[in-house]
Order: sequence, then C-alpha cells, then structure tokens
Amino acid sequence: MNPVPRWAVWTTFLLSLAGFGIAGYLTFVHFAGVQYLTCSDNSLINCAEVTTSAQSYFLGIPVAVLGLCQYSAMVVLNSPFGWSRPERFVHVTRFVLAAIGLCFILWLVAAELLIIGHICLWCTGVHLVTLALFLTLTRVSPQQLGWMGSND
Amino acid sequence: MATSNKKSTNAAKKAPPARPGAKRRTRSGRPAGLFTWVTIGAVVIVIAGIILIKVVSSSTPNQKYATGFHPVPASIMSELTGVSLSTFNQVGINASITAVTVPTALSGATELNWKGTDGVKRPTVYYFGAEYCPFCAAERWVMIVALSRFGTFTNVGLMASSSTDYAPNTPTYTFVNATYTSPYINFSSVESAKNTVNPKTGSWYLLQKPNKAQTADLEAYDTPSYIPSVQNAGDIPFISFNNKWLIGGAQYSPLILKNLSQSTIASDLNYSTSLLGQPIIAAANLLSAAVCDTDGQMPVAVCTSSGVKAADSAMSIKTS
Repeated sequence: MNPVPRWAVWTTFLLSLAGFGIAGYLTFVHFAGVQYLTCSDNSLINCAEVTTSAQSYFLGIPVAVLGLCQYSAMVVLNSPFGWSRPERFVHVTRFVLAAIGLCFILWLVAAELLIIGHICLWCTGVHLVTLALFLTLTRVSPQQLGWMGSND
Repeated sequence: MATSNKKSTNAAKKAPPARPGAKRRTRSGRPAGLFTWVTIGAVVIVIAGIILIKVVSSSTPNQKYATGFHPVPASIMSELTGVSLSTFNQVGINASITAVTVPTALSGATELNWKGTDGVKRPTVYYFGAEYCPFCAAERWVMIVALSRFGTFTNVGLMASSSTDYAPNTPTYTFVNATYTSPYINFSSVESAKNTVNPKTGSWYLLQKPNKAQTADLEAYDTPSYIPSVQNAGDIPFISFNNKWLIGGAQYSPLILKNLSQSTIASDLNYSTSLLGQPIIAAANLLSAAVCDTDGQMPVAVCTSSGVKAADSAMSIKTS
C-alpha cells in the first residue's frame, strides 16, 4: 500500500474527534431530554423538533447512537495508529464507513428539509464533519489502496 | 535491441522534470482528485435536488392534517396520560413564563348531567371548539392531561390549528372521533369546523353539529357576562364543567407551542421544571379541581393532591 501524507492523517483524526464529540452530545440529549439541548428555535432551525422526530430513529435505533458508534470507529481508524496499520481491510473499512456515513447524512438532510421541516444545527455540524472527512479520504484513500494506480 | 535500449535510456534521461503545480495523473490517466470532485458533484446535485423539492412543495399552502384521521401514536398518548402525581404537585398552578387562567365559577345554573356513551348520567364536561382554532389547540392539551386523571380517552387524533390564523399550525389534537370513559364524569365534545377553508363559502368547512342541549348551553353561558375572558358571545373554545365552572378561550397562550410537534411537547410534560410543560400542567391542576368540584371529589388520590388543593384555594373551592 502507498503511504499517505501526514496532513491527511491529522485532518481525518481531528475531524473524527469533532464528529465523536457532537454525536456524543446528541446521544446524551437523546437520553437525558431535550431540556439539555442548546439550540436556537425559529421556523427553520429547531433542534428539538429534529432530535425527537420519527426520523431520529433508524431501524429502531436512535440515529444519535448510530452516529456515536460510527465516530467511535472512525476515531480509532483515523488515529495515527489506525493509519499505520499494515492490514488492508483497516483502510478499506475506513473508506467504506465514511461512504456509508455520507449516504446517511444525505438521507438525514432530506428528512430534515422535506419531512420534519426544520434543521438541527448540531446535526448539521455532524453532517459537515462527515462530508469533510469523506472528501479528505477521497484525496488519499484511492491512491493508498491502489485503486487508481501509482503516480507517474 | 541494444540500440533501441540505448535510445530509451537517453529519452528517459532527457525527459524534463515535472513542473511544480502540474496536475498529477495516474498511470490510467485519471487525475488524482477525481474521486473528490465526483463526490463534491454528487453531493451538490443531491442537495440541490432536495432544496428544489422543498421550494416546489412549499409554494403551495401546507396545512397539516387537512384530510384524513391521524390517530395519536401510543408513545405520545402515554406521555399525555402518564404525567406523574409528583409532577402535578411540584408544578401546582403557576408557570414561570406565562399566566394561567383560572376557571370562572357559575352558580345557580342547571347542572348538565348528560348521559354518557354507556347511557349513564354523570356530571358532564362539555367542550365546544373547532380544529382551526389556535386557542382550542392550546386548551386540548390541558383537557387531555387533566381528564386522563379521571378516565380514559380513545381515538384522539393529531391536529394542527389553521396555517393562516393566529399562532398558525399550533400542534394539538382533535376530539372528532374521540370517546371518553370514566366512572366519575362524562365528556361531551363538539369540533364544529375543520382547519381548512371551503373556497366556495369562504368559511371553515363545517364538521360536527351540536345537539339542542349543547347549543342551548353554549348560547346561554358562552358570553362576556358569564365569562370575563370571553370578548364576544360564542367565542371558542367553551368548556363547561357541569355548569359549575366555565372556561372561555385558552388558559395560556398558544404561541408557547409554536414550531413544535406533539412529540416534543408531550416529552416535556413530565418535567416539573420545563417551561413548556408548566403551563399545561398548571392549567390541568385547575381543570382537575373543577372536575373534583363537580363529581364529589373523586378520585380521592387526585382530588386531595397538593396540586389540586392549590387550585382549590385559587378557585375558592371549599372541601371538607
């Protein structure tokens, strides 16, 4: 496997930590109650409306918990230790998980705008982190995994 | 072959170094950032599509629950009916962010005591309102929470007040198909109109017609002379507690419920410190006191609770 630049290692690690933090907060609010949710409240932005909607569950599991699980894995996979692993499946898993995360946030954005009618700022934070993480990985993972061949 | 090899080597030696900033290309001819740009393009297209759908769908008036019957999910119903006694007692009759209206006493009127669905006459709580009405929307929260302490609602539906009226789309419920059973009281409701306007008449689509007794009671007591908070005769909602206590309008502002859903509000009801739940719980204690005053202070656990006792004091109800 080809090596990856240091900037990518640290960028993905920091993004994963940010995603883990926000997902952790949303998970706490999910179980502790919306009174702990710090968020503005108007006709467009309304975190409580989103986090207590029917769409806040996926297959019976709170989406916040799914996000926390995803980012728990991503923190490990994107740590310097994770990037240094020689096993190929580690790096494929990282990319696949990030791709699944991107698809999921697109569904959640659609649910917020089209079904719930409100946007949750904390959720949007996770969405942006997920997008940035995947974009960063698209810069390095295909070459690392040899999907595009080595550079001339 | 030797000559050929030599030429290749020379060519390699003479090849100019790659310019800084020149696009790196893979052996297969694809730029290194191809995946990134394809991803950005796909995300932009999807987001643009979502926004386009949102814009197109919101160009037409969006009246929630305009058609069909939407039963209240069991999870919400259990939160509405499952407020703990300690929460009722901790809240009492005051809310931090808004005043809560006390029911008005009515003396000398003939008690309703209408027959229930089981044919038995009991002290009767009579509600007259409409699905478009934002004040009815606010008050139904109180009624369901309070009356669930004395009996059981079934077939309550989700509803929202009119999207074009004051406090548009206030989340609420409808009693249009509701039944209520209780060993202490009967409940009689009229939802007089839907939450949408009939374009032919320019007024609300009519829904349920009151019977003679319901009409007579409404016309007799839903007036400013009996209820000071009523501005005009016939204002809704009108609630009579067996003609001993009356409510005209909502006990708190429906604006408190703006931009929220039933599930969000319901999930706050069991928190005594919730600014959202307090007005509903405080008003429910006052309604409970009105019911207790009509049904002989039953059930004892409810009617002797400190929250209801606080309401008794505010309403000057003497209990032995």
